[in-house]
Amino acid sequence: MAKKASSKREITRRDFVKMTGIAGMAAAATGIEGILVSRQAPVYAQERSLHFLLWKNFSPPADVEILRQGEEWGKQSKVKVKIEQINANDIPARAAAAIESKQGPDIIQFFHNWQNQYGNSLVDVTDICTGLESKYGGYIDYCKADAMLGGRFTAVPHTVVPNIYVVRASYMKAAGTTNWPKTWDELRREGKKWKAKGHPIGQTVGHTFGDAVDFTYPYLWSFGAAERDEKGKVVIASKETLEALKFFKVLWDDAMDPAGAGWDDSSNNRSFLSGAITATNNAPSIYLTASNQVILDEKGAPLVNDILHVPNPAGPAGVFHYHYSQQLAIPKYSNNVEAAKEFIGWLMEKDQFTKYLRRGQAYQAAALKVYMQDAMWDMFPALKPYRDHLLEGQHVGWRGSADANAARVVQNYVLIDMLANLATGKMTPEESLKWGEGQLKSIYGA
Amino acid sequence: MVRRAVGETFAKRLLVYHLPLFFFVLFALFPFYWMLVTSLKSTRETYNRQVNPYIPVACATTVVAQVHSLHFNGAAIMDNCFYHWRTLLRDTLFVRWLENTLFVAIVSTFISLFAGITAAYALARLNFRGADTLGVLIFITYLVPPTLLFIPLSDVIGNLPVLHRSLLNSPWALIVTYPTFLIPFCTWLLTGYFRTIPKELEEAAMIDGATRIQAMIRIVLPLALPGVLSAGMFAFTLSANEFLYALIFIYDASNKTVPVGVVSELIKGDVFYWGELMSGALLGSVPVALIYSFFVEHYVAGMTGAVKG
Repeated sequence: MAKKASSKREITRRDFVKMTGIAGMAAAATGIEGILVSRQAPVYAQERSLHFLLWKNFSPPADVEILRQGEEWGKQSKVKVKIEQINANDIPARAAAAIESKQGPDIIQFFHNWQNQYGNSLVDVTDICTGLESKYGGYIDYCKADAMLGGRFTAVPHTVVPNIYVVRASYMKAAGTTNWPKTWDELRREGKKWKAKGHPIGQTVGHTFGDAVDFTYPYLWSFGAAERDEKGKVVIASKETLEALKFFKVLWDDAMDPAGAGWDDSSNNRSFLSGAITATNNAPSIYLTASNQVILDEKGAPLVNDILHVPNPAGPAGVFHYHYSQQLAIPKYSNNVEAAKEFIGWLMEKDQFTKYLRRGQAYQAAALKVYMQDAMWDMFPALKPYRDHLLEGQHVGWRGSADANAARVVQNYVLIDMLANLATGKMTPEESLKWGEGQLKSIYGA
Repeated sequence: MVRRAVGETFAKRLLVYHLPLFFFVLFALFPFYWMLVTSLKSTRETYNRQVNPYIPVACATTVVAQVHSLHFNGAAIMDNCFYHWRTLLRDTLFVRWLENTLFVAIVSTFISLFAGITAAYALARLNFRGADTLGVLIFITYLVPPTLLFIPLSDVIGNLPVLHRSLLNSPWALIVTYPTFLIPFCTWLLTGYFRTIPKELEEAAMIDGATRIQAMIRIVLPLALPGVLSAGMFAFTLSANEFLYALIFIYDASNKTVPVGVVSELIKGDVFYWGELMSGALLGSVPVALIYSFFVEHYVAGMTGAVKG
């Protein structure tokens, strides 16, 4: 895309060296007269700046660390680094405005594969990614798939927020459940007992970027349902999807909290921490809040001692998880592409990245597989199940590719709404499937 | 002073006026009470379903104990009652956000009122062709949602036509943007209001030698003051609460307004810092509540027309 004309002439590093060379030689050889002869003012180092937009991390120490690292790199590289943090749900609007108006941050953090909607407006960062892969080993497959479009990297895979089930052990036991259900049907059966005791399963099917996607996608996959096949054809209208939808209606009515239809990402955390629900699909945030803020249970004991982390139940097609990836993209409008690349490369070096992950208390895992062996997991042993199921995820749009349309399906909450239609009683499973197929076909055009 | 109609009993007044009013006041004030109570609870207490949710138990216990013992311990009060308030005011830029919000809201309200008054007067009094259609068209622009406009507007704000300057990341980005929805609203409200003022009053002034501008300033505007205040209050409230443009156009934490600053700083991933959020929401609503309470009579008059028959 053509670069926008700007009234300000940017000085690249090459220009800078050339001009300082000429002016320096002129000054050294001829003094002030030489400068006048060269008709070029002496050039002093122009302060470069870098604007990095990312989410406000759940884990405040991770924010402290990224700000510190920005400052450290800025001093080393003589670049003024501005790190701006906003609520994750607000990033799509900021990114859309920045990319459409070709002004704004030099680096933007994207979730899922959101950035692929702007693939042509993003700098190809394949060189950074292949360099990191050859140095540290490979990426987790779905992180790589989410960060690529048409055979090139549109963003550098950075971190993953893993999601499995978080459970109150005492509530399960009180209802007579001895082990975490292995299948969705067992979960429905046991969940019915929990609901009867006043502590149902809490699950959002609302329009929210994290928990709704993290539950819906693997749930449908575990029944053998998919948006598209490997060739990109929409195949949602299958008997597997219909079975998943029919079962979800029963699961919802029997075992789930009906309020979940309108929940956002924070609602299940709040419900769990206040003792309203037995289980919910979530990132490590519930555990970390209970631990860091010393939340107590009904008996006055620390709640963390009553929390279990367990995998998703299996469907007819097996066990699936969805852990949302986070990646760093550089828009083409940036005047600081080289500095942005240098900064991202530096952030991903082991020294910096290990500190970032550890300060974040294992809330995020790394997109590079090598960090699954990091000592961080021994520092937070209760969170090890997140690591153990990290490789069981898939990318958005699976079995098709994680292209721009797959990102649109996520951002329009199409699959989530297919479940929400059932939860709210708005449609029957057959109607919801037909509606969802129509939505997917209009997005994918096939 | 309470006026009592002839034959009106206390029971009747209680049933017809006081009881409904009591429930209405309870309903209206409950959100403020809930914000206050949540801001005074510890996070642990907020999540504890075993205690009474309508009372900040730890805070109340501390205060009662100190009153009984007549021993004031400020540190204990601070820890048990005002912990979230301290965090909000000390560890975030809330005061700065409040200043930014007031600055942006006041300036954009004045700009919008000036433009709205002049436009509305012209539409109501100068009988030019297409005045009615123009009035409707101006109001329709108010109905265009910001979600459609923020992308093209960010292009305009980032490279102002003629000046070739970027206003991004400056409060002026909001001050020039907010009138895009405030002026149509003020114009629509004031056009209707000016039409309720009899023309004859101005015409009498003009017969006595006043120019049209003088007649407008000296005769119409004083009569239209309730309407102007209503439009001003609406404009102030709309701009103080605006979220999307403030989110898109402002980058630095120190330049943010309250709605964006509070959400950016106090919602972290999927965890909401309820105590600080409620303190911020309560404090952020105080200026608007104060303005409404000072001008409520004018506001009511503004909604019902200028000159009563």
